[in-house]
Formats: sequence, C-alpha cells, structure tokens
Amino acid sequence: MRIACVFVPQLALQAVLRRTPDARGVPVAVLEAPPLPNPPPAGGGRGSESNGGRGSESGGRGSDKARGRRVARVVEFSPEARREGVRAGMTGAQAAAVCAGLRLLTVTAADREAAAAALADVGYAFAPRIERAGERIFFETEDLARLYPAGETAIAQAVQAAAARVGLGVRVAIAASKGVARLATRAREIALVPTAAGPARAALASIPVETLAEDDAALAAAFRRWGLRTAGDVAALPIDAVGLRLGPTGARAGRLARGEDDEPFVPRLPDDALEEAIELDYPVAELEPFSFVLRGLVDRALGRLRERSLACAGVTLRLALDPRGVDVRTVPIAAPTGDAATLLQLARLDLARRPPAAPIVGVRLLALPARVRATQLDMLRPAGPAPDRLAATIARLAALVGPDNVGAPAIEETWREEAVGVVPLTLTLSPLRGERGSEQARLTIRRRRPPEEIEMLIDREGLAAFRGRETTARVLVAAGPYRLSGEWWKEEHGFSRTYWDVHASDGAVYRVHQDGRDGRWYLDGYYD
Amino acid sequence: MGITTRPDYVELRCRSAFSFLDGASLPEDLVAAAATGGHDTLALADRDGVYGAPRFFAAARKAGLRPIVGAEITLAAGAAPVLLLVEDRRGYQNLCQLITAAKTGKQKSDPVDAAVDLLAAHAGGLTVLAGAAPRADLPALIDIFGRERVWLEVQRHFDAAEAHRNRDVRAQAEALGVGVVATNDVRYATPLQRSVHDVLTCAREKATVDEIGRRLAPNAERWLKPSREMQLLFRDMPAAVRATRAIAERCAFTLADLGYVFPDYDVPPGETQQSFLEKLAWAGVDDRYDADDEIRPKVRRQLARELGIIDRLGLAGYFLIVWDIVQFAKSRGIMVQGRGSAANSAACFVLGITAVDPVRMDLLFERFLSEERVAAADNAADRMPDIDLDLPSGDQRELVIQHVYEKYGARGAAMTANVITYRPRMAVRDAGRALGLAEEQLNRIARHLPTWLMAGDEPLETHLAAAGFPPTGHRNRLIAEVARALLNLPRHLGQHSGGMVIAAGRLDAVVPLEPASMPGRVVVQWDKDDCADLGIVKVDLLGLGMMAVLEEAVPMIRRHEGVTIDYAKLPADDPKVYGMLRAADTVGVFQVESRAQMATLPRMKPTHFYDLVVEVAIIRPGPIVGKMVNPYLERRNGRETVRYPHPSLEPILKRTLGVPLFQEQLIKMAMTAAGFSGGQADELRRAMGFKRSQERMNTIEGALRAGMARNGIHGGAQDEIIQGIKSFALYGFPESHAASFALLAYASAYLKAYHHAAFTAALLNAWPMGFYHPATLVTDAVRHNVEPRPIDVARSGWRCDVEDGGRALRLGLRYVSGLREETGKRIEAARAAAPWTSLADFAARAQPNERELATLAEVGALAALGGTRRQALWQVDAIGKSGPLFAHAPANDVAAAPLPEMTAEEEMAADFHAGSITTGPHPITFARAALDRRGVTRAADLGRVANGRRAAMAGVVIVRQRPGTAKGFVFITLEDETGFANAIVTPQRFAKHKHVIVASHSLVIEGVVQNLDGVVSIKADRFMELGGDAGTVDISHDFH
Repeated sequence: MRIACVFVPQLALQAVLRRTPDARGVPVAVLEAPPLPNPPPAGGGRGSESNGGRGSESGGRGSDKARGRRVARVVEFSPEARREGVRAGMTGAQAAAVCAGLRLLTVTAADREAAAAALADVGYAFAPRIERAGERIFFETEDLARLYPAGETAIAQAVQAAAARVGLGVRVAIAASKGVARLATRAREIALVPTAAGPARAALASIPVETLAEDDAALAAAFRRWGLRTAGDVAALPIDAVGLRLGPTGARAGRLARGEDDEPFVPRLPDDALEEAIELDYPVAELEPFSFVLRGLVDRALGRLRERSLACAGVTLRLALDPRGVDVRTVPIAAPTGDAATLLQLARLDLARRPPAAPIVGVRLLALPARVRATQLDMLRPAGPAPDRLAATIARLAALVGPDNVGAPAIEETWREEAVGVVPLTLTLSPLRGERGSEQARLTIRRRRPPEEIEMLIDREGLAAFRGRETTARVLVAAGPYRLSGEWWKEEHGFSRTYWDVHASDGAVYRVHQDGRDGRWYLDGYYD
Repeated sequence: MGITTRPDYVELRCRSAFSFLDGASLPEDLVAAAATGGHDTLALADRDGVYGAPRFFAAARKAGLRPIVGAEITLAAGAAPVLLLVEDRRGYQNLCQLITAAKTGKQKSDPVDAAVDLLAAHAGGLTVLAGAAPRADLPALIDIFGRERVWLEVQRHFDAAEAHRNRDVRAQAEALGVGVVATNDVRYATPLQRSVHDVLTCAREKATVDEIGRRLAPNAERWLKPSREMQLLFRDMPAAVRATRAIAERCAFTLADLGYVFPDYDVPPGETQQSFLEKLAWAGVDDRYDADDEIRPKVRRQLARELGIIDRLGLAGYFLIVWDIVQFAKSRGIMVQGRGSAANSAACFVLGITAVDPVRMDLLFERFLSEERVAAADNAADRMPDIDLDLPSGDQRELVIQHVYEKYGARGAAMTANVITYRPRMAVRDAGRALGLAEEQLNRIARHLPTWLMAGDEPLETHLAAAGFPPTGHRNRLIAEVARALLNLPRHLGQHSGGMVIAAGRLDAVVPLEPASMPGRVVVQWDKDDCADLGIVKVDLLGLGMMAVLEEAVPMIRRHEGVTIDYAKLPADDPKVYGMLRAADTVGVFQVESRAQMATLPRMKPTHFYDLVVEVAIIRPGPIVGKMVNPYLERRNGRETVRYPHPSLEPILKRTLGVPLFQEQLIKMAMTAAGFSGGQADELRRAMGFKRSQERMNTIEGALRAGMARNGIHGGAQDEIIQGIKSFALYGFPESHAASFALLAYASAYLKAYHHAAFTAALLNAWPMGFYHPATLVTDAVRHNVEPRPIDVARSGWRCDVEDGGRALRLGLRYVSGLREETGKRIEAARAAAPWTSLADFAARAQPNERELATLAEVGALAALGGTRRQALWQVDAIGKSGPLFAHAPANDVAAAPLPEMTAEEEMAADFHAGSITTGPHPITFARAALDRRGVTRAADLGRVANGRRAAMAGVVIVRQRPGTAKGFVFITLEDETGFANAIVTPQRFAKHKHVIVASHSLVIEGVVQNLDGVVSIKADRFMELGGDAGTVDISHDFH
C-alpha cells in the first residue's frame, strides 16, 4: 500500500489568506481568540479584518473584564511579519507595534473548517476515500498509477497544483504507511519514501530529531540529551531499549525513524454530515439560474434533516468549475434553521459577495445537522424576529454596508455622554435595566447628534436664555452644574464640560453644556 | 451666608499616595496644598493603615498645620468602609490594634475585612465618618460608637447622582439622629494630578485608559480645594461645614503623643541599666587591650567620656539590648559585626559590638552620638544613635531575628517596612501600560532606563526616545509626563532587609503591624526613617553574604588544613595579601572585586590597612562624581602636589591628602569652613544619609555658601568645598563604616591569599552574592592552582567543600540544576550509611526523581558508579521502568550503552546547561585555535601590548556595566582561559553596536589598547559575536 500525506503548513494563516488574497506577500499576523464559553453571537462566523488597532482584538463588546479575558493573540504569521519581529502569543496591538503596516487577520473556526474542507476536497479529487486529520489528509495512491504513469512525483505535483487552485500551499509525501508519510512531509516539499525498509530508513535518516518528536517536547529533549541529532541516529538504537526508557511514544518514534509504522489508515466521511450533489448539463454563470439549482439541493437536504427532526447548522458548498477547479465555501448561519428560504438567501448573498471565478458545472452541498434550540420568550416583550431570519437580514445588510457597520448601538464605556458605538447584534434577551440605577432609567433624553451649538445668555443669576437653530427660550430653572471631563490621553486632549439641565420657557427640559476648552455652549437634547 | 474670616471648613476625608494606587499625592504635597488653600487643620486617612501618618505629621508640623490621624477601614461582609478619626491616644492605640487585628492571620495580599465585633472592641477614642451614602448598618455603628461620634457625609463633586445621594443621606441622618458633615473625599492635592490618579486607577484595575471607561472618576473634582471654596460649595448646609470644625476640635491627638517606650534590659539585681553597662564596658577594655598597651589611657579617657554621654542621654538600655543580641549571636557561633557610625564608638568596640578600634583609628565619636545634637534635635530620630549589625546572610541571620521576636514577643517586635516607591522603570512601566504599550515595548524602554533618576540626569523623554519612543508621539509625551509625576510616589509596602523595632509593652499600640509575605515575619506600617523620626528605636540586623563566607571557611580550613583562623588576630598588613591587592587579583574579595575597584587598585598600590579603608570608600558614586578619585591617586603617586581648598581645612583633610573622602570630613569641613552649628552639621549629616538627599542638599548649599563667605572663603575655594560636599549626597561612606568593611575586605583577601580553595568553596556556597558568576570564581581558583573537582555523588555533599588538604575544590550538589535540597541531603545521608554499589543502588537509596537522576548523569556526577556520562544517562533512563527485578540488578551493563559519547565541548555545554558551572576546560579553550588564526590576543598577554597599539581579544562576557556616573560609557569584562580583559565602549559606539554587545554571551572585541599604570583595557571599536558552544555560555552579570 502506498499512502500520500498532504500537509498544510500554517493552516490558520493559509485559511485566512484564502479569503484575503490581497494580503499575500505583505506582513500578516493571524489572530485567534480563546474559545467563548457560550455560542458565538449572531452575525459571527466569518472572520474580520483590521489594520492594527485594538478593535480587531475582540469579537464583541461585552463587559471589559470579559473582553480582557478573551484578547485574541497571534497564532501564526507570514515570513514578512516574522522578519519584522512578530511572534506567536502577541496581542494585535503588540504585533502592530513591532511591525509597521502589519495586516491583522482574525481566523475563525469557519476559516479553519473551510480550509480543512478545501484540503479534503483536494483529496477527494484524487481518491474516493480519504482520512482527515487537522491540517493533513491521507489517501491511497496506488489507483492513481494509471492516471499518472510518470510516477509518484507527478502525483505529488498534481496534488500541489490542485491545492494551489483552492488557495492552499501544501507539502506532499508518499510512503508505505501513514506515519512515515506524515514524517516525510516535514522533510521537504515533495518526499517519496521507498517501501522497502532499508531505503526507507535511509530516506528518513537526515530528518532532525526535533521533527521526529514533533510536538512532544519531552521526547525531543530526551533525544538531545542522548546526543542524537537525526532520525538516523534514533533508528540506530534498539527499539525495545528506547521503549523501555521513553515509553510507547519513544518506541514509536524509533520505529518511525526506521521507516516502520503500523498506524492504520482509516478513511471516513465527515461525521453525520449530509451531502446533496448535482452535476449540471451545462455551465451556469449567473446567480439566478444557479439559485434555481441550489434551491433543489437545499430542499432535499432540509427534507432529509426534517426526517431526523434536525435543522441545518451550516452549509458548505463545493462548486465544480468549468473547465476545472473547485470553489469551496462555507456559508455562515447564525442559528440552526430548517427554513429553506433563509438558507438559500444566505447562500445567494455569499455568492453575490464573492462570485466564483468560473462558471459552475457541478455543486455539492454539505449540510451540518443540529438540534433546533428552543428560545424562551419574555412574557413582557413582543416576540422578536426568528433568529434565523434575523441572521439572514443581518447578512444582507452586511453585504450592502460592510460587516463592521451592522449591529446594535451601544453606549461606550466613557464619561463622554454622546459616545456610542456599534456592537454585533446578539439575540439574547435580557431584562430591561437602566444604566445608572432604576431612578434614572425612568428619564429618557432625546439626544442631538452631534450636539447643536447654541448661544447662551448669562446674567447675574446664572443661565438666563438660549438660542439655537430651532429653539429660543428663557431659562426658568437650571439644575447643575455637573462637570464631566476625561480622555486627557487622546490626541485632541480629551473633553471638559459643564452640564446643566434647564427648564425652559417653551415648557421643555433641555440638557445643555459649555465646553471647557473654548467656552462654547451646546444643546445636547431634551428630556421626554 | 455667614462666611467668617477664618473658614470653618476642615477637610476630614483625604487620601495620600499611601493608599497605594488610590491616591496621587504625597502627604507633603497635600500639606503644601492645604497651607496654600487656607486650611489650618487637615486629616489624613489612608486605606487600612496609617502608612503616611509620620510624613504627614512631620510636614504639617513644619507648615504650621494641625494634622489629624485617621484611617479608612474596610469592613467584612461587603459593608461600605468607615473612616475612623483619632480623638486621643486611646483612640490611636485602638486604631492601631484594630488594623493589626484585622490583618492578623491573613496573607499579605488578602483584603482587610474588619468584622463588627472587632470594631466594637476598639471603638474608644474614635470618631466615625460613615460615608456619603445611606447605609444599612448605621444603627449598628451608632450602637458601637455612640450617636455623637457617628457622622454621615455629604459630598459635592458636581456629579448629578450626588444630589440624590446627599438627599438620602440627610434623610437617614435625620431619621437616626446622627450628624451630617461635609467632605470632599480628596485623592490628590491639585487638579493637575488627576491624570496621575487615573493612571494609578488603571494600574489597580489592570486596564488601559482605553478600556477602563467609567471606572475612572467622572471629573477632576477630588482635589484638596481651598477651605473657603468648600465653605462656599456647602453654603446651603452651614451645619455640615461647622461639623467639620467641631470634629477637628475633638480630634486632638498627634503623633507627638505616640506613647512609645523602649524596653529596658533585664539587669541583675542591684544593678541599674547604666551601672551594668559600665561594668561590661570596663571589663571589655581588658579583653580588647593588653595590659601594657600604650593606648589604654587614651581608651579609658574616651570610654569614660562616652559612658558619661550615654548616661546623661539615658541610652544605657539601648546599648545593653544591642549587646544582648550580639551575645546571643556569639553564643551560637554566629559571626556578628557592627557597621556604620557605631564603629566610631569606643563603647561599642569594648562591648564587642563593633570590630574597628576607633581610638587607634582616631575616629570621630560625634558622628555617632553627640549631646549637642541631641539637645538641638527637634526630631526624635536625631536623639537616638543608630547601631547596625552585620550577620551572615541566610539561616544564621534568621536565627537572630527569631531570637528578637521570641525575646520581645510577637506584638513587641517587628521588622520595619520598606516603602517601595516609583522609580523610573516602574513609573514608565505603569504609565506606559496604562497608556496602551505592550509588555515587549515596556521591556524595551526599561532596558534604556536607569534605576534611579538623579538631578542633572537626562530627562525621561531622552531615555524614551533612545528606546524608539520619541516625544513627538502624543502618547509618548504623556507617558514621560505621567511617569515623572509618579516618581517617588509609594507603590506598595515591602519589608526592610533587617531593620527591627522593639517596644516595651505592645508595639501594635504604637503602629499597626501586618503580616509580611515571608512566613513568621511581621512588619510595622512605617519605614525605618519614619520610625526613627518618631523616636522608635530600631536595630538593623543586616545579612551579609561575605560574613557567611568568612564564617563557613573557618571550620572548613580547620578540618582540611589543620589551621585555625581567628579573624580578630589575623597578621596585620600581610605583604602577600597586599601584593595580591596591588595586582588587582581580587575576584571574590569583599568590596574590592568590582571592575572599577580592580582598575583602581594597581594605581592605589595599597600597603596598609588604612589604604584599604580609602579604597573601599573611594570607588563610590559620591567621590567619583565629586571628581575626587583622580586627584587622590595622583597625589598619592606623587604626580600632584597635596593642597587644601583652604588652609583651615588642613587638619581635617591631611590624612586623605587634601581630598575629602569620608562623611566625617565633610561635616568637619562644614563646621570649620562655614561655621556650621552642631544642629546645621547634623542636618547635613542627615541629608547625606537620606534617600531624597538631593533636595535637602540644595537647601543646605545656601547656608554653606553664606557661612563660608563670612569666614572669608570665596570663589574657587568655595565652589570646590561645595562640590565636595554636595557630591556626597549621591552616596559616600562614613570613615567608620569604610573601616568596618575594610576589615571584612582584609579578612576575605587573607583567605583568598592563603586558603583559596576554602575561600572559593565558601563563596560558592553563599552564592548569589558578590560580583561574579560561580563559573568565574572557579576559573579564578584554577588560575591560583586550586584543582577543581566535579560534582560526584560518591564524594560531593550538598555544599561545596575542600579536599586534599586545601589543594582541591569539590563542587557541591547544590550546583546541579533542579536538584532539590532534600534530595541532596538524602544523598549525603545514604552515602554516609554505606557507599553506593551501583547506579541502581544509588537510585534506590537516594531516591532522586527521574529528572534529577538524568541531570546528575548529564553533568557527570554519576561517574564514580561506572561509565561515561551518556552511558550513565542510558542506564538511569531505564531505572525504575521495568519493575523491581531491574531495580535490584547490579548495574554492570553500562558499557553497552549505544549512545554517542559526549565530546569535551559537549561536556562543557552540558555542565553549563545542567549545572551553570564546569570544572573542565574554559569555554574559550574550544575556540582558541580559530582565535589564534585570527590573531586574537589572550587576556594574560594583553598587558604586553604597548599602549596605543591595536589588538583583539575574545572571551565570555562576565560583566556588562553602564554606571550612572560614567556619562553613558559602557564597560565590558571578558574572561578567557587565561584571565580577564576589560573593554571600554563610548556611548556612540555602544549605540551603534548595542545589539551585538547586549545580546551576545561571548564576544570578540577589537580596539586600541590602553596600558597605563599596569591597568590594561581596550578602547573598543569592533564587536563580533563568538559562535559555537562557547557562545551559548551565559555567565554575565549586567549592571546599570
């Protein structure tokens, strides 16, 4: 048996570069946040990008403490970034500080899954059955001999070319066993290890022991302590003696160094994933007719899921392109759904945003099953939109205005009263609660954005009257002054304001302030 | 409106920076702001302590303000804290004991949570300010303290929410019949310090300014506002303002009324403190001096004078207690020696407290104790003498400390605190972190910052710019500004290395005690200066690594060489010792081993003990910055005429050739040249020993100049004297202290000269200490014909030792990385019971863990059990892995190991990797052939290169130094197999080659040789990293 191992070095980096091809060749660092304890908020699923700064570090704007715990850190980076001093474990701000012009890209689970799925697709293009293992796939190559009479080098090159077409740079090794092939991928771009034990051992002999021990630092340290530098040195030791000293992992490394490996090849399909596929009679180059094709696939997939009382939690589309090539994309779904229209809508939006590079001649739809979560409605609130529909709406909006410009308004954590930001929309229902105590929650201020500059007349008693664009009134009663200042660290030297709540002669109660820096007066809004 | 000419308002709620990270001003700054703002009284109440009270008290007294003592106490069960103000001494004692009790039994980092019953037990003499919000436990507080002593507060910080709270407060106060008082909850002295407070808040909350949001205060209103402004602010609540005055009137206590009493020594029946002291002192004269010693009459006269002064000042008890500690140490065989100005006292000498004979050395007793000073002193600290004891560092010193705890009780003795204040690195770190810099960036800046920032140094902006953060950046500028404001603010409390305070009765009634991070230790909330200022007597029990060395060497030499060393009777002025000192052969010798000392010794050419005293004192920042080193050495070598700044100073400066080198001389100079009174001279003395001496020095300068002008000293002479005196503010030694240290230096030099193996073994056992890495100490021993012997489980103990009559040095198991002391001790014990028969036997009886066993094999410590290092490694990796049969099998198959054997270079690398020290060839040996081909000169041959010629040298970097006194010059010392070589790098060259110089463990350096007066160095201009295994050996000590 001959087995090929296809290995994607720096999977996270390659995963994000697939969706951001313009970042190739520039310094790039890939950020990843530690996993959330709860499911990710709606609207997530696709990675975000920023050019440095702190905004890229967090997926949402929860409490500060929660944000502090979930600071995303650099997991992988391009050679250009390495040259500038970017290292794994840095935060985005730290990496940006050492490397000017660094592009920070956030890798998500979906990115990884998409890249892994694409890798799997490369495998499926060569073999009917593959084994997937993280950033690697394995498949048998004996059947390919007829297709590639030039030999295994040609197979390996073809695999690399196929991978390149889906945006992945891979290393390929072909050997008599899985473990040996895996080891050989760490040695060179294309490694062909003979089946016979002797030549296999010779082929592996120059591989450093650190590679042989792979992620097992203790094993690598033990080899170094023993004065061993290469797999050849390890191969020269008696296996039993190594096993006695270093345990099963040591013995396995010893056997591997000799080109011996008994790890079984276990190809299988994705866990309970559900697949629907169609090959088209002629290439389709427009969205509308393709939607028609897609609709059928979606209906079929959802029908099968309904039979099992399940909904769809994610969709991967594998589009066969004309004349060759594949386009694999994962369509993010905010909440599991059984609604065909929603799924179709999301898929259409994704295709509209990133059209395939060539007409489509075949499509395979992989649907991930999930149980539908029951949402407990609040008796005192009107029922909100169904989560899946909301997700579709948000996705549509994001396609129009950009993902960073869609969300819910939120008061920023600052004493600057008018400061607001946009946070991703979450569907968790929380009880109505005032920001600063129940007493104040009863008062609502209708705020002018931006505050309107006014003229204020002041007499010996204090505030007397003001005149704005739409309002001119005498001040009957003024409550204050209230002083707010801060953000002295900002370029514009922060703010310093004196606020008053004034009951004006037009019957309204206004909030006004005087800017401490230039003495000008502003109308902030009025109380309802 | 009712505003009177004297405002009623007294600020009763005010925090200083001693509320660690929640107050942005020093007590002194608050007092200054209070005085400016028309306050006549001010209360300081920091969180859970009275940390800032002594400085507040001193500053207030100086400014004519009445200081009120208080503290804000954190309560249990999440209740809002209460602020307790002290009315009388009973209240103060209650406050101290309450804080002590609330902190007892807790870890240092635990929050304080005083329970209600604790409050109830210590309620007397205290007034409670219960906060500016209604509270549920107010009835309980009223029950405990009484209705008339509990007050609710109203505050106005121009915050809309406060109006509601004030309304609620007044309602609750009315309902429960308690008073309402106005406060401003002050956190900083002036509005300008708001940004500093914000940064401290960020440091406390571990957040940046961009993240912290509304955890910062909404505005800058929590400053110490003028009294009249506060009165205006509360003009609608005159009763709340009047209440501040009423409470202040009630709080009459000040720290002048502390109630501290120093304990008496327990004298035999029929004796008084004084009579017993005199008896001991006169007996001591006979011990110290032979009957026919011609100096005896002079000693008797001096002692009689000193005893008279001690009697008149009532200090006999203090001397007896110190004497008792010394006796305890001696009874346990622990070396002890008084240092500092105590060595000026004949009484201390004859009592055995100090080892320097002040009469023979003609030392100034008044530097230690003077009646005039005590009479003039307005500060208790000046009334008490200061005796510091040096003890061997480690367990021995701990024994003495525990003795003091036992003798005076857990609540009668405590260590003094060490208030850790913001220094440049920490200040920039906290400011930078708050303003969003990353740790890596902060580390980069820290590498460019000095430990202390002296007046006249480059500003922080320059250092930041050098690290790549120029002030053109807005945030960089802010970081420098805030960091500068943070400098000198207290950040947290540590424990002083050896200062102990003792009280008759309960010390916790005088100052709160709190647990230290070290188990079994208790610290007071004040540092040693504060304790001294308030008249609390302290004894410093300082740990000195060299004392441990001297002590350990004695039995070692007796055991292996049959020689008994008595440090009190070492031959004086031994030619071999002085020859060694003149040759700067001083690695490991106390106080004279540094690169700078080594560069001075060949020029100093010491021949007698006093030369050593000068040598110890001269390489100090004080004399160096005061430009006194070169004139002294030039005059000593006859190349410059001895002259005096003024003829009147000749008697004072004659002994040091017209150059002032000691503090005593400067005091005498001030008295003679400027006509300083005892009190003024004393202020000068204190300024020289004080941390913030630069500011004090500036104020003294005016008085000095005026005094000298009156005595007809003008122009250059005046400047020269001023320069001499001011530079000592940076750090200079008193002569007595230098003499005490010189004794230890001489003793250690004697050991090095005559018992090098034992000396090195003891040094290695006391490490970390001194200037050099253990590897350098061993290399130095090898150069002195000591045979180094490797770590060996069949011979080595836990500690290093001597073998073969002092010819060989055996490394101890403590130099095996990761080997636990308990394993080391088990190896010693099991081997004593029976020798090892095999590796398996060793593993079974010594029970090292797998990692320890492998490391022992790696460093060759198992060689005696057969086989090479790798063979042993192969063997030990199998031990215990295949069941009991194997464990008991004789280890006879070591030779069967299939592993490649280590090369000599690999063995050296393994020694450093797994043990930090080698007995094999020097790392540079392995590169020597290649270095020879490149024409690199050996360190030992460098002295033969003519001055001004180019040369290259190579070696492992053992010292990289950039002293603050050297204007940015960098000094590098390299070590090769033949010795040391020094290089000097100009600031420009350093800036250009910094990366190579700082990052390389081994270097090849090229430059122009400077060969003058037997001192050789290279003025370096080219730097290359040395590769290979030698390049991985990191034994450098880097200093700034």
